[in-house]
Amino acid sequence: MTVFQHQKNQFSENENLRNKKPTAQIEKMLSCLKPFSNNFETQDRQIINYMDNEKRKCFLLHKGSVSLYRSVDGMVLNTESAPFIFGMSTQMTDPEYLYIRTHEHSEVSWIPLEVANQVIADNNLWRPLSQMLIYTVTRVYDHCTKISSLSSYDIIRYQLYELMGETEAIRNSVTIANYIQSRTFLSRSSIMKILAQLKTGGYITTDKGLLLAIHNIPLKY
Amino acid sequence: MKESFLQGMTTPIKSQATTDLIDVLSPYVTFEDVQANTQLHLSVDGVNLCYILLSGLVKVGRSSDDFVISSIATPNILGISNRVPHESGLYIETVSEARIASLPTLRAHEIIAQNDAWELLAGHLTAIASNLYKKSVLMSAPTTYDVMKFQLMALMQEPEDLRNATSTAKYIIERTRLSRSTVMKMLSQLKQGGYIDIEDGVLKAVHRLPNKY
Repeated sequence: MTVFQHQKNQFSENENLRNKKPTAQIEKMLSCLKPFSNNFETQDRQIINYMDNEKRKCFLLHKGSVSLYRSVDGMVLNTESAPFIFGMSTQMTDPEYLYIRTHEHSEVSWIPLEVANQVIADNNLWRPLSQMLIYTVTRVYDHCTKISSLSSYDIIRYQLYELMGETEAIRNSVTIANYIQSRTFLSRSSIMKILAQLKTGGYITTDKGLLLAIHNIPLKY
Repeated sequence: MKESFLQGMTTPIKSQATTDLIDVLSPYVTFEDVQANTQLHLSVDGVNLCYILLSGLVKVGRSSDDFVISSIATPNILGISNRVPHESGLYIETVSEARIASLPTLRAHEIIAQNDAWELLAGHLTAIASNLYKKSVLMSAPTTYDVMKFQLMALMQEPEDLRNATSTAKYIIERTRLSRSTVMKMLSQLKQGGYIDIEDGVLKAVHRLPNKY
């Protein structure tokens, strides 16, 4: 076991979570929803809103990865890769609560929420939907607890492991400081200070601000 | 942040699906009256448990750091997602006497499958997701004062018997990382400014809270 894998045990919940993504069930829903969806031209880092002309939308992510942002403060809630369906878990919240931003070139299509709900009912896809919602709920819960009651150092440590767990495409496209700053309320200066010390201590390897490797970040500052 | 936004963020969403799902599960379980201040863990000996809460005042906490995550409106179902890791230390604590039944989460899923109640589960989970999205905003507010504001609004929306039995300072301290002295200082200044009414430590009213401290 490498040091990195060993450390990962501290965040086993997260690792398990990503492994437990109900991919087969999501693909089953996608194949039923896709014929009713409209292609959506996306560019890199494009913003997608859940609401358009008073109509709620659902987004089907076929390829690539996106981040979910909270509109109120622009904080990143989490990152999700294909396959995924956005808009089902948020239908009881304010449609302007979240927005999506694509990372690299992604394949996205959209479908009116009411049509999506109808297709799910017609094809009796409630069980796969439940499985996807369980996954979603657990991820949001995880985010809540991890971000809430920790010290700045704990938060940065957690975010570094989160970033290390992202796909290589994401890791190569975002600096550590930007990644952490967009996901927390920490100031840039306090992030930079802790990162510099972790780098000096040899706990992380970086190149031009990008994260290359993590070597056993201590639990305490 | 605007008051109307705060109101929306601190009001829990309820779904008819939750109540209907309780009706589906009820014939398979036995309800008990659990006395106040009892802790019931969501994972016992490696088995995830699901709790059906019919009535009473209940909150959810985390044993690793004694943090209160949320008050729970009843009737409700907790622990129906079998993904929460065993080591998370989540528990339910009764604040008043509460009528509760429990069963292993896997068993709950079997019953749902037998009764083909997945639509109800999906509806219930959507309500849970909505409340968590709101919670995520409340739990990571940008400033100490925002955190205080959220908690004051949330306490004001708790059932009256709970609010009357709760010390405002304790409510905020066990739900945040704020120190006792910070909480006490802010509360007394808000009281002095006429923004809140507190009697014997009990929150009686929240008037217009200023946007900035």
